[in-house]
Amino acid sequence: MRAYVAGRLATAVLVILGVSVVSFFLTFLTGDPAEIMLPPGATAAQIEKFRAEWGFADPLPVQYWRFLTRAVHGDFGVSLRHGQSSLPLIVARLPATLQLTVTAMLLAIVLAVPLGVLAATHRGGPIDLAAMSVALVGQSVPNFWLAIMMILLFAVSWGLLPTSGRGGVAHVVMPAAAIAINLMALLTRLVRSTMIEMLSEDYVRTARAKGLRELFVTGRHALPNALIPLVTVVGLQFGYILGGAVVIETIFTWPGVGLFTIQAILNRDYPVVQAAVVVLATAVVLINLAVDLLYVWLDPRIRVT
Amino acid sequence: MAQALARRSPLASAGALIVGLVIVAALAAPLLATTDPIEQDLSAALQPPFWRTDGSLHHPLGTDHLGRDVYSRLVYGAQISLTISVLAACLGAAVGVAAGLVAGYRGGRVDAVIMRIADLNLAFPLILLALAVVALLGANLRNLVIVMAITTWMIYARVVRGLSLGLREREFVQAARALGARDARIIVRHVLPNVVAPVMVIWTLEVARIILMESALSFLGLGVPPPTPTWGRMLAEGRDYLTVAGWIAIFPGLAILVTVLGINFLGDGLRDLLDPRLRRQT
Amino acid sequence: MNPQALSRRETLRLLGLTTAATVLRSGSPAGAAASGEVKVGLAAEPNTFDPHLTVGRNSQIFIANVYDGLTARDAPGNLVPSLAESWKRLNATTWQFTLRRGVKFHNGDDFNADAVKFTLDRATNPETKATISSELSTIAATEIVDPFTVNVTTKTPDFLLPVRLGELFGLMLSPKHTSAMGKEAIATKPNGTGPFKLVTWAKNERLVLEANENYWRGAPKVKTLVVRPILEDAARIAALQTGEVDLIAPVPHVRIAELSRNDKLAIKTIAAPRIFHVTIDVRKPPFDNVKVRQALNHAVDVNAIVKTLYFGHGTRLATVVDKGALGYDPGVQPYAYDPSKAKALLAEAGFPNGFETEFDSFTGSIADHSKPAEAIVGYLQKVGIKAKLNVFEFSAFGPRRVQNTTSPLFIYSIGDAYLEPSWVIRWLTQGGLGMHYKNPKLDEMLTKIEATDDPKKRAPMYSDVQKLIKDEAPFIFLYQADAAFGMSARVDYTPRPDETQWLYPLRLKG
Repeated sequence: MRAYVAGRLATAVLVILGVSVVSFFLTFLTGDPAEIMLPPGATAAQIEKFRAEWGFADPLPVQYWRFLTRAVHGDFGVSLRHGQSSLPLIVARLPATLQLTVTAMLLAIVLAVPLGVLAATHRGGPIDLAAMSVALVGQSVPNFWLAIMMILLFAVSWGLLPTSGRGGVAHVVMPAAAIAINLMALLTRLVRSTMIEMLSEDYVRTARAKGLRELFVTGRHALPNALIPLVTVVGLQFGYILGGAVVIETIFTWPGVGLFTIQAILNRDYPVVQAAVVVLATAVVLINLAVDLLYVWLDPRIRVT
Repeated sequence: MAQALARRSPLASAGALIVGLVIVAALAAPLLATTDPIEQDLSAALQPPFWRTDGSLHHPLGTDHLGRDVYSRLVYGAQISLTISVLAACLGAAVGVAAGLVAGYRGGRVDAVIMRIADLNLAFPLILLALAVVALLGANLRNLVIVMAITTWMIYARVVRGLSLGLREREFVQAARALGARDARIIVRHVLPNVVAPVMVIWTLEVARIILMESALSFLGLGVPPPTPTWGRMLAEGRDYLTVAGWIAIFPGLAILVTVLGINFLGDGLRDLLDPRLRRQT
Repeated sequence: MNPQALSRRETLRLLGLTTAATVLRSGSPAGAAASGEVKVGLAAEPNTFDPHLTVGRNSQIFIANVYDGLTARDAPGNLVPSLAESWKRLNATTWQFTLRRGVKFHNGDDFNADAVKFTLDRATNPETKATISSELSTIAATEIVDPFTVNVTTKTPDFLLPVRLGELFGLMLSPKHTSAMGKEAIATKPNGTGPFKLVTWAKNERLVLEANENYWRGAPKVKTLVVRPILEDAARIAALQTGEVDLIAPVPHVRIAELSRNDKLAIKTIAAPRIFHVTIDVRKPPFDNVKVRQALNHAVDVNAIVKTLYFGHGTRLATVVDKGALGYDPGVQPYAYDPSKAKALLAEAGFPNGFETEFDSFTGSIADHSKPAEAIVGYLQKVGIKAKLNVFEFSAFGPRRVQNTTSPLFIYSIGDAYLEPSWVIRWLTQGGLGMHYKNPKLDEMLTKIEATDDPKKRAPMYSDVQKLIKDEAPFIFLYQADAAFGMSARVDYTPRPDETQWLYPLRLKG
């Protein structure tokens, strides 16, 4: 087991390096930081001079090597736009992102479990239809529309919540709800199928005939199997949200990593892009490792070699 | 088959009906639309739908900021939005399921390589990918489908792999191998049926996400080139006018909603239909 | 905050210690001390407070609240003294600035000729890699004549130097403080001579500015400014409506009418000096034919675009000279919207059935270019010019301009930061970045203008320039849009014509 984890960590470094190299090259191949940084009145000659000054005119592999030799010491370079060291800029945003992501996940689970159970126990009937519709509507509604409507209703019309910005419970409710409602459909679905599978197993039927306690005792075998897709998907969604709640972060000006990364990409601010992709890649890789280890615990028949 | 479907699952029939209607609308767009979807008339801009005082039946769902007819754009938009989203979802599913099956069944180094590629893809910001494809390969429908497929295959791969990981050790598989069955046959006969159900669930939900992703890409200028109408582009354009001329965004939003509901009900129904047969096999 | 309580507090302070101190302070006019707090919501916050590393107009127009330049603009837009009391041109390549005495930086350092030399040397030093180096590239050297007089020499005659050393690109740093702090620290801990000091900055969350009581123009009326970046238009307006903020900028044009009806709010607009235009590649046929170019201008109903996309909050421009610029001649009339005349001109040029071409536009950037581009392409379509519209993401569009691979038609806008047509026209005729129109006669007229120091004499010389450009039609002439500010009844604020978010005149009402 220890060897497995060590092996995974080693390949994790390769994955992170891969992401770093590809994003570095793509950042430069798709646009030019120099042209964006100068005032609009700059002439072509001035742009070239600026590029030379900042080292953007050098061949890409040379620039990457320059970057990498400093990065391994933890210095991802100074942000082109913000004039500050880029890794601390990204790390400073992690608490805000985690606050939003965790709240959203919890809200989504709290909403999805009862809906899913309801749908499963009344399978095929109108309640199933209704519950699934609610969940689906949540996923197909454009999240920017939902967010703006919430602001107009809860903040402007009713004055219950602040309009935007980061803060405590009152500030996080709307953005987290917007993300959760979008996320909810998937989780409701999974809870529903899990429950359906559990409820239709032969031994469950016999157990129910014998009495409810048997259900819980023997559920130990069915549930873990059904949990595998659930765990996988929750892990994946976590990764998606960490890097991707950009629209919500924009609308509520929530100072998270996602928004900052997108702006850096659009500005070709490559030190920040690098810091962001490395942090995100590390998170994704670690989460996936945790999920894989969870598989083993859930189903001992799975061997990881 | 259709009769069996209708009897067993009203859910699926409702879904099939909705999806059918949308497909018909998409195919018959030139017949159903009342005007040219890209024709502008700035003097008629931001006209509300016909039930409002300033509206008219000439533009039943109103006009957008350039005076274009929302209804006609909606109808033509069905064609493109559906095509690219379904294509992207299927492409992603095909690649993802194949990768997941191979990874889960074979295990070992094959598994490790495939899963690490999936990790790399997951950790990579979508925007950068979309920017790269557009900048380097050009902005057209084919490339857009590829970009969207790239964002979806990983979820199938991981789930399918998880499900097939345990199966290799199961008794019936070991028995089959002892009898000389080849790997490919085992995968198709024994592993694949088990993953159909979750894959279908994921597929129907991914189509919704992809349709909406098209909107985010249009917003950044990375989607279908203008002035082609797509539901995603209409959503993006309507965002600035949400509080003043909400109809520009609401109608494509509703169209997406109804289509997604239809696809999901259909998918659920089909899965329920296939399910009892699967149960018997394992 | 309760306005009543404020004025009571204000009165107490006036009667108390502050009055005596204000009278005794030398050099600054006596007045009420700053009080109260105003919350401001902006679309973006500055990227840094280092005046040599600002990126984007949004940064430059904001940090002018913490620093001062040698010159400034007053409310109508005239160039006025700031840290320099006067300036004169000694010869073609030398300007002399006489500096204001008794000005101190926020940390107590004195402002004098050393500061000016240090700042300009730093800006032009390649090691600084200043992002504004292109605007100050004419500067050759700075020489200290005496503690309050500097001579700045330029490589070529530069009549715009006093404007360059104004609030956008000439903000003054303290030599001692800047050298001690180092480059990274200056980004977040500025030390200027301006009306406000930066107290705290939580990036993407809020900026707190506090009044500089010793400001040489007199302390600002408002003591504390809390600035929040609110990226989303709808959220920013919502914040104003709920009273979470007192002043917002910008207000999208589509919301102006609705918000003006709210009598708790006031919306003020001012023409922003951002000139929208479509660049025509005059080297590529059929655009080398002036009749075709004039046809393009007759084909587009610019007034309809201003009315529909900007809700009337814009000004049609006959050429590429903005309304607030020196020498703007309202006598030069814009091309009339006349599609039949456009078709006739095209037929005369040999294209009775129009032709095909390509048109570039982009998303992102400080203003929306993709909507007007779509509208323009629609109008061209109607006279038979089938233009394929290409949309790029802004940063991806940049390389196309730099490599001169843009389509024959592309939309763009340029902010006339200098309020001087010659600067804009020189940039538009630079022969690079996709702009290839050149006219020796035009260059001659501009050179004569640039050699004239007195703005009053320069102004009328621009009329002929505008007539020439209009007739030559190397662009599809468009418009400039208004900048809109929204404020609650609590505050009073008058915007400035050069896009600067100058918060010094902000005051609380009642």
